[in-house]
Amino acid sequence: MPALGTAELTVQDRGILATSASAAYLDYFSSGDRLLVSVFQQPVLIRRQRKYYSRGQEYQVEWQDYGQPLPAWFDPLMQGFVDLFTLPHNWDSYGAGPIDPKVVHYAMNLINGLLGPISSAPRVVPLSSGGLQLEWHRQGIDLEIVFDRDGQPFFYYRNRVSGDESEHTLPQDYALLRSITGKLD
Amino acid sequence: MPGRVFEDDPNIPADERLLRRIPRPWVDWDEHGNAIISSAAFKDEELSINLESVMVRAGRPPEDAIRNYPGYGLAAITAGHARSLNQAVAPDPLPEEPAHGVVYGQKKRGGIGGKLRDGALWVVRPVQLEAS
Repeated sequence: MPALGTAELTVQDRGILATSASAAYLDYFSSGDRLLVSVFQQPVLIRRQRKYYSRGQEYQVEWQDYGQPLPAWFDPLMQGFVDLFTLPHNWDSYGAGPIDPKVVHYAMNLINGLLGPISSAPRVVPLSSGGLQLEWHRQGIDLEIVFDRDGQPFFYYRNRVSGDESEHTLPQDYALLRSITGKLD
Repeated sequence: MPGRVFEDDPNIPADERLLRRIPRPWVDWDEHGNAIISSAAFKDEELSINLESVMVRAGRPPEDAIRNYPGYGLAAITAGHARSLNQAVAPDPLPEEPAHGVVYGQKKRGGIGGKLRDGALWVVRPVQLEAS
């Protein structure tokens, strides 16, 4: 493996990655898994970290949890987010700038609680405008959650078999989004 | 240069191919190894393209649009397809790219970006990396 340099992240960047991962993971596991712990075995938070590599740079994600196995979507999703931070200037060849870290942060927080332990990971796709979208194309369904720099996040749903399509604003229609993602697996 | 407004140019025929460079972040690979374009590639309100007929008149093959962009794919939609989705198609020549044009209109809502993508065909397929 070639030598990989450590990314010179700003404190803000590190905070976003670490805090977001922590928030998502804590919230998710604090609901279901704590039920399995007896009253004599209080769950103990531990600090965890994981390294991701993107375009020759190393990123470290830190979070706290109860030591449970990571869900299947965790690594692909984190890798997708990290890959956004290493896009070069003009990455689309049409003058696109960097992806806004605030948008990434928002997307991380929103996906908190959305996915189950065996959910499939969405694909993380950059937008030329500096935003991002999360995409699933499974079971004949196209689902895209769009986080742009301007405007409210929304999701677009299309059933390729029936032709039905609809668009919904977030976080107002979060329950509907969760219902749809539950049907993708 | 966002903020400009373009009117549809009726001199551009419906079968004119509009060429769009596709960088790797907009390409996914299915289980058969097919390169799938994300709708994100077609969501700019002022979507830059190359007008193929202008390139041909200059003696340039379509592949010339990605000559300076190794690893990129090149996709084409037709002007007629763009217009069917309420988009205007207009020339917008640039000093560095005389064949430059614009597909102008709202694309982020209503699944327009995805529908534009659905009409896209590869002119040059990107090559899948071992670990991308």
